[in-house]
Amino acid sequence: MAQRKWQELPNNATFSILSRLGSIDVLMSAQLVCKSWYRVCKDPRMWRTIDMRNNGDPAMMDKLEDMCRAAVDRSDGQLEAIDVEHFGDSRLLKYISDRSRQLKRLRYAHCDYVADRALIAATAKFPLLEELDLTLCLFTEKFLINLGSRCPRLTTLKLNCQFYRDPDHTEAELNEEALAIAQNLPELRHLQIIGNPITNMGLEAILNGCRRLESLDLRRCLNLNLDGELGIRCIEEIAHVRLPHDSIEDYGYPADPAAPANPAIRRLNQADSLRLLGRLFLDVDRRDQRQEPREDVDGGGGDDDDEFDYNGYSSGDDSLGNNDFAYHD
Amino acid sequence: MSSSSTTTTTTRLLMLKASDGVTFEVEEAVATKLGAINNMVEEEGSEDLICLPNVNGKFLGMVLEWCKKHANNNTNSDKGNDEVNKWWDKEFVMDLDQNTLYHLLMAADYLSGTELVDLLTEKVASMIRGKKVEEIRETFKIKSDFLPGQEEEIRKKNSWAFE
Repeated sequence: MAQRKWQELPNNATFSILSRLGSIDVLMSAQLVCKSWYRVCKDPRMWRTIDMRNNGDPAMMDKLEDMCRAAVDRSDGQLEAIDVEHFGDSRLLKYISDRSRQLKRLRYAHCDYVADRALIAATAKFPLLEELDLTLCLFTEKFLINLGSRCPRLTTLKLNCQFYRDPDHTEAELNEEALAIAQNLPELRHLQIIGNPITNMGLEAILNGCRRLESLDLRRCLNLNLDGELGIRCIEEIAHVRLPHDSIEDYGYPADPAAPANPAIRRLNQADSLRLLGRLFLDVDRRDQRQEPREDVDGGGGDDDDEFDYNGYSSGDDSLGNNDFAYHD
Repeated sequence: MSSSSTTTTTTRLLMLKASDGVTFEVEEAVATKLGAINNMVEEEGSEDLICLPNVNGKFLGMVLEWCKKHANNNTNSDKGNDEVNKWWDKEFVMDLDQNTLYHLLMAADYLSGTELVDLLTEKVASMIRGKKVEEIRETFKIKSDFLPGQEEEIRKKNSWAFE
């Protein structure tokens, strides 16, 4: 029976193989190879980490979202880390956060349309969150308010974007995010803000507010001038600092100032992004009127919830469960 | 690690006997990188000959070679070990044919060599990534053992993945 040997590996070896694959590979092919692989692919432990990284093919986006929901379902509440790229939106975030109280790492990258409110509501449901990465997402600094109390274990924050120079911005505007970080996240250990418009004022606030920082990545923060004392202070106080002009070779996303292919990718100033998002999300318009996002921080009660109940999506239950096949061995 | 023999004085030698009778003399510190052998040493005390009826000599030899390299690298220098180990691991799995890979993995799993299992399963995973169902079956000579209709049913239920 030499030809059957790979499917007869001990279960934990098969598990070890399949759990190294990205979730897309598992869902699109590995699970269908044979019965023993299928059985392993239904094990919730396989889905504690969901890795939906992909090449950004627009034709795949809807499928990827469905797959991601199915993967979240399979995790059966055990999800600890999820990596969503390109296709994530507010609804998906809501879907994840309603089912994943154990989440420790959330990466939502290149996801243009995530409303602040969705981020606030979701992070309120991730009490164990340790790492949050919103590289190249559109949001405003509002979701950072009280983030530290919603996610008291949050130690790693990545808010990378593509640097964008706008001479009309005031210094306060350029530092909105930096100041929100400094005020709301005193426990941060690792902060990566590649391409942020932060100026020396914002950096000083971060150094004063986030006293426990061990690493700080300031690459392509081209409004900073670290020639003077502030630069020295950074290097003296923080073990690992990456400076604005350090190489971004290992980063893998656009960061240098340039006109990005998709204007939505560039994180805009608040007014611009609200206008852009307003086309897609009712709640952005409503927040404009409300002007008091702080009050909504803890889950936004009752009637607000239906804003996220977009057609009551549920990923069709996969009734072909573990017990559907009889195993006699 | 918890063994009472010290690392500074004499290194105790163990005799490992494979299923085909081939024996290997190995330093205890090397052999106990394998969880199964570590357990045997701890539980059975000073038994010097350990029989391993589920592993043949060829693959036991390879497993021990891997253990030895890692044990050496870990005592030589403290910095840069990881790099050396990584480089050596890469070499170790680079040219493994599928048959050897399979038997090594079975051996490593049986001997509870966790790190080696990780290395080998990563190699297998790298042979799966990006492939379609049929290509994976082809690569590993796996015949579908789903009952008639079962595979279709899964495809239907997971239509987002298979359209």
